[in-house]
Amino acid sequence: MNLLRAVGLARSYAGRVALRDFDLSVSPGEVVGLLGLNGAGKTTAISILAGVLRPDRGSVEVDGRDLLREPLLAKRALGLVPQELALYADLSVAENLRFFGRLRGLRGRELEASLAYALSAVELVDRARDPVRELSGGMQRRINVAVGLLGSPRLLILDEPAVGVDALSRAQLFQLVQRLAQVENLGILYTSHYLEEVAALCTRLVILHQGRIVAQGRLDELASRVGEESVELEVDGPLDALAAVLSAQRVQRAAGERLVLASPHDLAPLVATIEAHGGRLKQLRVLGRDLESLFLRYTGVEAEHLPSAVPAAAAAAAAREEVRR
Amino acid sequence: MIRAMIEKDLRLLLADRGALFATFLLPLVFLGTFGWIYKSFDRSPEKGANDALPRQKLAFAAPIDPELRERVQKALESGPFRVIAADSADEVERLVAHGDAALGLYLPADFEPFAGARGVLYQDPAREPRFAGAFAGAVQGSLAKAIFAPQMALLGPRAGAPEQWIEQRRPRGLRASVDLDGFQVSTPTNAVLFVFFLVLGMALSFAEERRTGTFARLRSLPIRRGPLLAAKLVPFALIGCAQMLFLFGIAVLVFGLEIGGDLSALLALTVATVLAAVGLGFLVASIGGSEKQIQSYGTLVVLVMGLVSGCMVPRFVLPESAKQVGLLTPHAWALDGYAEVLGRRGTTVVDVLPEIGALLAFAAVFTAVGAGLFARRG
Repeated sequence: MNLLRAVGLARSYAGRVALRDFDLSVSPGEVVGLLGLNGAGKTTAISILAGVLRPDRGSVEVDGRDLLREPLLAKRALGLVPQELALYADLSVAENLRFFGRLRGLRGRELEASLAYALSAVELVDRARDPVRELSGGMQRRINVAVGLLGSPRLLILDEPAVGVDALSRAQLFQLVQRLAQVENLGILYTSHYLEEVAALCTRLVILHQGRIVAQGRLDELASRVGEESVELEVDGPLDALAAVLSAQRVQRAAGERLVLASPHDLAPLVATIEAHGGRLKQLRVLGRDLESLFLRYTGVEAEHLPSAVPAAAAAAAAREEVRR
Repeated sequence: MIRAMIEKDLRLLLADRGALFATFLLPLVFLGTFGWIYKSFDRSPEKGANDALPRQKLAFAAPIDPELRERVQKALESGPFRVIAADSADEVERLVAHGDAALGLYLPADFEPFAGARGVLYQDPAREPRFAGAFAGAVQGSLAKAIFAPQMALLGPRAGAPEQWIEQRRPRGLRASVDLDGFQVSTPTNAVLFVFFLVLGMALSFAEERRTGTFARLRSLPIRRGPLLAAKLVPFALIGCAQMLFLFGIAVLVFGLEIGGDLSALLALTVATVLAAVGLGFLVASIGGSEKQIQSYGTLVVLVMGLVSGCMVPRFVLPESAKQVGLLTPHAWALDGYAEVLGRRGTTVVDVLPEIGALLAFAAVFTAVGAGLFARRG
């Protein structure tokens, strides 16, 4: 049985579509990576899946319970680790955990046992009495995850949990996520825009672009679907005419100044053809079968937009603000 | 859940010394300072009108019949004046001009009021403008009392002093009032003004929870939204009640504030005031915005409401039109209620039901609009 099953989710903000036709499932022991640039709709999707935001359309089931009709029962199976450090910095680690644990309905020994489990899971048992503000950024991130583990949720939603974390803490976090999935059989939904992070950690990937899922499957499945290596050409000239002329090269996409073609054996005739038809090759990039290349192919975004330094799109800011409200 | 929220918010408050100072000590400083300033309002129903005026220095020169001069001086000193003797009209004028005396009275050697030979009253109209007319009247009354003293003496002891000619009575149906003390003005005005600063604290707390993601986390927990919001409001209501009781307690124990009415009336009015403040806080929190925006417009809202309602300038000093405008704020209703509870003996909850009702109506409207805005934002 799926721990998470979302069907046909859609959400708009003031007439602007943030998410549409969103279907997703997560099974026990599975780590599903939700990939997308800023503004792709990840935050909106996560917020709906965690019961923070209501969708305009669609349904969500968590552990077999309808999240919209039986929110209290469905949320018992759910742990959310927000992207922000959702902790009270002036309270101690234990005070934070007890507070959120009590709000989850835990009491007495059950609460203390859950607190001990969460702290040991993130290996911070000895820091329980320290105020959160005195911990390092990496430790604070781990406490953020620990709160999500309170009450033994079956589904854990991690929204960019490794943002701003050093390499060591990131490695510890990855180990924890893998252990939770493999040993404790939790279903995990993990969002990130760090491709290498998702490629290393996730058993299945969902690529979200402009509010829509453009691809999902295992990494090898995604790669096999796009076939062989391709090249992306940046061309100065009549793109449509060139795309027609180069149809023998299996043009996969033509937009703006860019053409994506099946990788040719010999580049010289290709360049000659472009120049013969009034075009000029400005740049060429080989698209392999790594996740970065796959992401480029599925989303059609330009390569320079891929790294984490993508400026936050206005849409992302609006969506995040809406969720915070 | 509510208990957990209360404990959390109290822990956060106790950890924040700045917030503690702003919540408890800052209003106390204001209360004490304004109580001292408002000493000029002190009055007792048993005392004469002159006793309601702050005592002023009066320069006095009168090259007239020594007996009359002495009678005038005694009459002035029995009123709201401390007499400073001067030698001439010029000296009287100079003392007033230099601010060494608030008023000056010069009676020339040929002083004969019934023949048109008048005395001169020197007064700087910019000084104590609220009481300028009252001081002039007090001087005129003292002078008349001194001049007519021989005639009064002829009438014998039955005639009595002019103060005894009029008996001051409370209209039937009105309860007895207590002596108005500076702290009876400064305590409710500052308590109400500062309890409405909860609005800022609440709105900023909501904004911080949104910014740090704790609100999203809370909403992902198996808790209904209504109780979650209610649990978020309860700690502020408790803090507001604690703040009000602290201020009234200190005012009674340290500054000798007299509470004329029932304690139950004071408590009911306080709870209603706090609920109105919490409701307004929730409304501002629902409007949202960044913490800087809330700080700006929230402060403006609180201060403007405090100003028009009479928290900064006592309501009895405000012109009638301003008093009516003030009733658009919960603050003014609270102050009217406190004036009854503190100022009139035997005031019960029933006597302040209109004020309590108005405050609860404000609380209900603020909360309902706030909840509507919250729901609309998804």
